[in-house]
Amino acid sequence: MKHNRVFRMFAIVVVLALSCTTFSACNIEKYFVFGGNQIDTSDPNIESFAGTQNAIFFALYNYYGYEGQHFTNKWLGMNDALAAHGITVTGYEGQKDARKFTITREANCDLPEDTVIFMVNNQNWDSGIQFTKPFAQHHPMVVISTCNGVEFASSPILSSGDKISNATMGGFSPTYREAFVNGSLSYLVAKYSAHIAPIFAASVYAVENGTPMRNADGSALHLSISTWAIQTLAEYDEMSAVDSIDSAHPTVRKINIDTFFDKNSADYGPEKLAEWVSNSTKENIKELYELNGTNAEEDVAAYRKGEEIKCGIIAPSSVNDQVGKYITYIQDYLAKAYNVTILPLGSVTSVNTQSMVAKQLCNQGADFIISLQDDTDRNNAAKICNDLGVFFAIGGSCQNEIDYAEIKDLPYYVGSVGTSTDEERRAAREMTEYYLQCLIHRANGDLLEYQMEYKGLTEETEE
Amino acid sequence: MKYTNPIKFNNSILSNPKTKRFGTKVFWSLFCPVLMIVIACIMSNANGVGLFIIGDSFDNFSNIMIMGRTVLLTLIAALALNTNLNSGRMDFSLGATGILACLFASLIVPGVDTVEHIFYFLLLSILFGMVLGFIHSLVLISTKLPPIVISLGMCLVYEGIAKVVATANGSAGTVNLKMGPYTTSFFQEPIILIPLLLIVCVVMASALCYTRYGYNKLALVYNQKICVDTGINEITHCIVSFIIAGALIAIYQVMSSCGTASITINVNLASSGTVFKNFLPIFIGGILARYSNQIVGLLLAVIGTTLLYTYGFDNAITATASSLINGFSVFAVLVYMVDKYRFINWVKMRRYIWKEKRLQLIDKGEVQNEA
Repeated sequence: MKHNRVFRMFAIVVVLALSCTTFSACNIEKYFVFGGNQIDTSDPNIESFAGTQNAIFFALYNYYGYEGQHFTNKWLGMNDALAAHGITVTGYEGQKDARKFTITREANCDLPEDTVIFMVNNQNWDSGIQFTKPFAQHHPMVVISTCNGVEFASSPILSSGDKISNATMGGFSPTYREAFVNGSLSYLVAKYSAHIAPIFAASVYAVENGTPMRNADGSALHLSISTWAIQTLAEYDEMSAVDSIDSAHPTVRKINIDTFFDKNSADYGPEKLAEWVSNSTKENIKELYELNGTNAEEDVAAYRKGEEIKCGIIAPSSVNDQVGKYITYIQDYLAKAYNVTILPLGSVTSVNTQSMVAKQLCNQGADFIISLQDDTDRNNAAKICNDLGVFFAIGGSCQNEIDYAEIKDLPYYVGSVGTSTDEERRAAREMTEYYLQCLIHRANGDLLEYQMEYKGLTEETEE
Repeated sequence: MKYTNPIKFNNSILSNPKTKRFGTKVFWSLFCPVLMIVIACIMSNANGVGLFIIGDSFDNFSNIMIMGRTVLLTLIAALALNTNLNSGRMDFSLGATGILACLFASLIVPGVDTVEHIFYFLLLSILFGMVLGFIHSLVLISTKLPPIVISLGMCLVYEGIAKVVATANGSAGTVNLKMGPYTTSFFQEPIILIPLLLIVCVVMASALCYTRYGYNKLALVYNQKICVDTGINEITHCIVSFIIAGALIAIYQVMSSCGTASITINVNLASSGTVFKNFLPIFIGGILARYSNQIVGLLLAVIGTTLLYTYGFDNAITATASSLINGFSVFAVLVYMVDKYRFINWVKMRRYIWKEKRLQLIDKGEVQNEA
């Protein structure tokens, strides 16, 4: 009896497995009605927008709608571009639900008559509410996200059957590359990871000299890099290679920035440093990266010697690829180059806030602390470090003017490096403007020419 | 009291007791879901997004299939939870079991980019889900501790293992799966959705309604001690329940993971959200089951609640308000289930008092009697 039952269960499992295998083997795709972009993707660099209507989706990630919040700031950039084309959006202040925004078309609007502007919140829903159903309803040309566009939109885009473009602000990671390859990402605003080196150097400088480097008006450093707009896979690969955190060949070496901290040098001072940091166009950084392939020995010779100092890192509890790169860069290269011991990572959670983590790191004997966390509770952390006489610096994320004004005069606050609010707003505006132009040019019938010109493609590069 | 009315013989089909009983059953089965769908339609349309009709016929078809996918997703989760919940084994670890099963499967099949990969991923996840459910039941049986303690413990353990396997930093992590053109739409394809729905419904209906397993389950719901004394083998029952629940939750997690092409790892019991957010359809389904059977009742409840709470509310009100209403609804349904006779008696009493008052008024001649 018992054997019989076991045998029966085993038989059921075998039958199920076999049926599933046959089911999958018999080319079931031909009975599918959704997904499977049937549209020609022979030219990956041109966005054909086939099957789409005149609709643009804006996907806002972590949107709170208050002044200074950098995700809000990115939306303001998109809003600028819309306003320039006669679309007025109101009611976004303090409104977390993007669907509640009021969108009006002004008389001077130059977009096609049937243009739909659709707002969604970028959240991890799988009920189809966020993208799948709206895709079926509006067939948008593009989804423009303030962040995490690949994570949330790419898979629904691939399955939609339309050639929907995906534009987002983010960084270099294997998932993003894959999305470029399969056509579910076509516009990426990225920044290079090694840009945090100057603030690390400034912190070491501050510890050595007992006082941080100051701007002419006595305020702390407020460095901003430029973001890169990447539109083709070739460009992605090129720039992704440049974005190196490998200790054998990093994008930025100590010797590249030593000159700004050497009092005997002509380039000494915050103005020159700020200028150098902001000149971070694709070409400049690529050139720098290539240069750094040849000067490893000089760099090793210039490594900081002398007393070892301790650095604490504040990072989010769930580290994304980008923050992970910052941490690796600090641990693998900067720590070695500047003779710094890195304390165990200070992890910020909803309970263990940034100021608490800062205090813990100070108690562990940190000489300076670098915060890779976003702006929540960051000013309090800076103030606590200031009270305890530990230098505090911000790397990676954006510091808005309001936050900066509050702590710029603290004697132990070193400064920040990242994308400024203006830069983020500009990049978001540029990204939106490109797709609004695509909308207009498609209506005019010269979409292909416009894209070729915009992306700098010629007939030869296409071949 | 003297009986004065003459006896009536009425052979019309409407007064046939069988038809009447059937009619009552159909009415009460459909009343709640239809009401929910009507409300969902009104709320959706008031916000300019149709619930069913959103564009041309293909768009409407895809819309209905998308909703079908969500309904199936909720149904499977509800069934998985239902397997243990009614027999007194509150299972917190369901969500974690599903996540871990998918994670193990993703180690072998790293992507859901092609149809074959999705199939293998599904199959492996079910297998691992069954194994994990089996382990859970073994732990429960061998330790002889209350199920709530074990399931909380197993939830934390499974979450912890998932975190280690995925090398996640901090309290949450995401494992990205390689995505392809069919990833998101796979489970909304009619050729996948309808057979899967049928298989799940038929298998579970036969298990719950027509086998010894279902009989034992119902018996255990009412009194475990007596059941065990009368010879029901609760250990086998427990093992089978956990294996079924593991398989079902693995299907749920695969469907969910295909929707986003990623597996989200949670710690600190966050994965038990899968369990809690499906309480409402289970409880409503339990009430509706009186008028049909467990599966039909649950299916109707799932259709109603999904359309209203996911599609109706999400287009009309914010997600936070929606979850608040959901919470209140669960509470109300729970109160009704636990002490429904108080409610029914209260309604009866009001009706009685109303009648009495009316009779008194008639006696006084203040109101004309129609009869």
